Amino acid sequence: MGPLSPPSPLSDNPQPPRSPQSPQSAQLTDILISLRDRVMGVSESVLSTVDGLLVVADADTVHPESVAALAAATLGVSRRIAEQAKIGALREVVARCGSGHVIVLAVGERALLTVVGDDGLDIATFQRESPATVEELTKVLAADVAY
Amino acid sequence: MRASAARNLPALLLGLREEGFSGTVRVAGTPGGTIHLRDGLVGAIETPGAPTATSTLLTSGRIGDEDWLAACAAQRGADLLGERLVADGLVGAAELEVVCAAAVFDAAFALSLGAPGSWELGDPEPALLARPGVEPRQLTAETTRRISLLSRLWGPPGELVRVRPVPGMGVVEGPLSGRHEDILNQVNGRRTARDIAFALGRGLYAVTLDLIRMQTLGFLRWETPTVPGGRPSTAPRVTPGRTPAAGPPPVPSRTEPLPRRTPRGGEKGGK
Repeated sequence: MGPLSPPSPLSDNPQPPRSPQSPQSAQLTDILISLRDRVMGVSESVLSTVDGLLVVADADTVHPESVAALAAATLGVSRRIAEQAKIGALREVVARCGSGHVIVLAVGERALLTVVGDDGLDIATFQRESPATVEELTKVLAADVAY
Repeated sequence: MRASAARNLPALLLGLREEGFSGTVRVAGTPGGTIHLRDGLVGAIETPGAPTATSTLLTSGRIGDEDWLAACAAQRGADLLGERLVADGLVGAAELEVVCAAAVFDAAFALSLGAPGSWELGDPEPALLARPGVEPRQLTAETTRRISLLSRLWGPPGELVRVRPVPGMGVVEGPLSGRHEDILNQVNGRRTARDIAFALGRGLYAVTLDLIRMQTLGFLRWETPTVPGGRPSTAPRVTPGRTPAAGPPPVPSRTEPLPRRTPRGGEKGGK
């Protein structure tokens, strides 16, 4: 497959490069959208790698690349402060702001999920639903290791 | 205790009013919430389904964040926070009363839209309270009125607050009221009436009524709720510096290939 091979719109290509429209990305985005549907107050979310690169986003007003980079820093620093405080492993980081929340949590070993919610974010429901979302995301991301 | 035998939430609140109960009622469900009672009167309701008085005052910018934090620091007993806000001249006494009472009615409306869940009584907790509070009987009557009005105007209110409106196709004729314009700026196919209420710091019921009105005027359309899989995927990588969505999101073409780089292509647009 050379760089000038004819375009294949519906990806009959056996091993297409990871494009933003790949089925796997769509699958990941669907998981993020489903989280927004299930939890009242979730407005946007960004899935990124632990080293701060954007994977997919269900974003509206935030800049996904910036959120991805900051999520890595946020989780890294928070893990260290949790270590210092000796109060067990970090579950998630919740930033409570003037009119909303930002939550950062780990998705397996190699990815991060950042969720932006409004002032009325149903945190109890979020904490009930997020483990399932993290597991679904982890399953889809596990395919990455095969490449 | 009579209240513990109540069959539903309105009956429970009536029973607690008779007892002159002061404390909280935690309601499970989606959306659940916490009802703050003082002498049996409903002072505040916190629920993810509708903005609280605090949320309304802060999100709308009526009270600045710094002033708010200063008032909270000065008044440790949050039950008296309202008095402090008035004393500091941040909000008028009458205005505060209206905002707090409106928030109680709005939250009761939001609670009534979800499936009824179980409840649990607890000790009083600090909250920004309506003074003296709303009579449970009045609260139930108003909630019933709202539900029946929306059912007549639109259909099942429980579904109405779940739809995500998109901007209408037609040209908006004539000047748009500031209130409608604010709402239209929030309408993008992602936000429900509840999300718009939180974004603007307005009541859920008021926003819902405005949405219905704007839909009849053709300013917006209802996006039929779809299962996530059947929905066009939102672009994973948003182009930086794009303008906020003013129209419906573009439907991705199934026939056109993705933009391709050509070996010598140095110009934008590829051609």
